[in-house]
This record gives sequence, C-alpha cells and structure tokens, in this order.
Amino acid sequence: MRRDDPLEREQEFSGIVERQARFMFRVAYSRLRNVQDAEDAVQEAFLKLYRGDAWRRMEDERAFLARTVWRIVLDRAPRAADRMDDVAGMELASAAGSPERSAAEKGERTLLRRLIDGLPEELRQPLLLSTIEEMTSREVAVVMGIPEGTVRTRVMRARAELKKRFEAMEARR
Amino acid sequence: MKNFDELLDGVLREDAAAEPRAGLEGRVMVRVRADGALPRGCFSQDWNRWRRWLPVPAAACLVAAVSVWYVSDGRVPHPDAAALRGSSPVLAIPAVEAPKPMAADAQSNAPQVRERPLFAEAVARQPKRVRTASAESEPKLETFPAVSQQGNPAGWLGRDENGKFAAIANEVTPAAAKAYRQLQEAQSEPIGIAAIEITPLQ
Repeated sequence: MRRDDPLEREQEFSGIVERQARFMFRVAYSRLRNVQDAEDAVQEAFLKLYRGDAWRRMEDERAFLARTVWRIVLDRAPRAADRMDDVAGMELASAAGSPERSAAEKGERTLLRRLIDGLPEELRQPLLLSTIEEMTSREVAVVMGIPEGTVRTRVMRARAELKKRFEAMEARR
Repeated sequence: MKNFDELLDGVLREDAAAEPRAGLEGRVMVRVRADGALPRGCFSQDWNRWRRWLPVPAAACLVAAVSVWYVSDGRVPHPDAAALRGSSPVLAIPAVEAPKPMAADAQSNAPQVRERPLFAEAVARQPKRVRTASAESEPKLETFPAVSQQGNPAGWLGRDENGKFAAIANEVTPAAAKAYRQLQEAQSEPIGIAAIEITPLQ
C-alpha cells in the first residue's frame, strides 16, 4: 500500500516541489510581477494540491501545475494590480540595474511593460506563458483550457498589437 | 521592425527568468506542514480508504427499509392469521375488538387496548382493502358511525345477525367455529369491577 503511506506521500510531494517550484514561481511572476505575491501564490497552489489527491494522477506534470498556479494567480491578480505599476517600475530598475543601460532604453522597456499589462487578458496570458521556460503551445493550451491553435493565433495577435501600440506611442514622443 | 521584436523578447525573458528568493522549496514544505495540510491529507486518505465500503451500510439500510415497508404493508402473511382467515371473505373482517352485547356502560365505552405483534397488526390492516358484496350494499348512514360500529361495517357482529355469522363460521372451518364460540363465551362473562377505594387526602 505504497500510496497510502503518509511518509511516502510526503516524500513524493516533496519531490514535485523540488522539481517544479521555480517553474511555478515564474508562471506566477509573469502575471503578478512581484516576488512576494508570486511566492505566496506558489505556496497556496502547493497547499491546495496537497490537500487534494489530484496531483497523484497528473499526466502532464508541468501543464497541470502551471494551470493550478495560474488559476490562483488570476484570483490574486486584482489584489496585486493596485501596486503593480509601482512595483513593476521598481523591479524593472533593479533587474536592469546596470548603470550602462541608457535612460532611453529603460523608458522603452517600461513603456513596453505597461503596454503588455494593457493587453486584453486573452492575448496577454498566452504571450506571457509561452515565454516561460519554453512552454510549448500545447502546455499553454492546457493551462488556459483553449485549443493549441488558438494559443498560437493569440500569441501572434498579441505581438502584432503590442508592436502597433508601441510604434504609436513612440511616434507621439 | 526587428528592434521591437528584440526589445519585446528581452522584456519577456526578464519576466520568465525571474528567480525566487533562496529556499522556496523549503518554505513551501514548511507551510504545507504548518498549515495542517498533513493531517487533512491523512484524513482524506482515510476517507478515500473507507469510502469504498460505504455501499455496504447503504445497502444494509436499504434492505432494512424495504423489509419494514414490505412487512408493514401486509404483504407477508402471518401463519396464524392465515389459519384464522381461512378462505371465506366473511372471515376477512378486520381484527378489531367486537363490541360487547351488554348494555352500554362506562366500561364498554372505554377504548380497549390489545397488544398485537407486528405481523398480526399488518394482517389486521390488510382485510380493510377487501371489498365484499355486503360492504358495497351497505346503505349510506345519516350520521357518522359510532366507535363501537367502526371495524364492523357489514354489521355481522353485534346485532341479531350473530346467528348468521355462527352458521357461516360452522360451514367454513371447525377452527373458525371454535374461535367464534370462544369469543361468544368471553363476551357473555360478566365483567368484574373491583370496588374503588378513595383514600382521603391528609
């Protein structure tokens, strides 16, 4: 009765945490843009998983876990959205903190981030997810619960929309 | 615009390469344990283990319920009742107390309580559904029948039709005739009433 042994169960779960915690953190961070919020989302996702038993029947581990944390992120997103603007700018500065970078480049990146945040959800989500640890279109489709072809279409539309908006903003400067 | 694509990929890569603070995995496991997830997990495991046996008590309850319903509905005849009932529809009169032929007094008006087993109770209810020709031909009464007449719709008991009933009972089975004679004897015995002593209040 290996599956009913609590110690074995905990070890098995611990292995999943070791393998996928960072990946789940990045999924959460891509949407929340805040380290603490992303970590909280990951912890909440693992808690939720452990209380249930569905994690023992995962077929595609990465897609299943990404979907779990993504749903939690969507619930938490409105709470995090209030401080997103400030945090995004602050973290951008720390991430790209090398003094060599020009102020113009920072401005472009900041603008682009704001434009990404301003995309409709249906375009932003596949765009963000598809860049995390080379998630495939199929995995993104599982996370979002939409067909794989729709994921590709939306990613292309998102990029095209961003480009259009970015050029319009640059032209206004 | 190649420049834009590079810029966008760079921004997206930055987000995708975000690193958590060191020790995320450990903090997750600590939180899992601290939040009491382990006992809940064990409970859910226990529940998963036990829920496969749930159908057994459920089936037992169902069988018990069906049995009670079946018996209380009178579908299982009691052997004694079957012997008493015989094959005559006349003897299928409800097993209620026959009214005493003596003059109405306070004792006879009092409700007579008789303890009957469950099977006899079920059988006693069953004949009420039998519609005999005599019951159908009973004239409509002007007033609602009294308590003493309830359970005796055809009037076979009580009045001058006792003889008729005895004749029919004799023709049907000796056991029925014997039972009827015992009933008549019991009815003819005087009822002894003990003197009531009322002690004065002190």
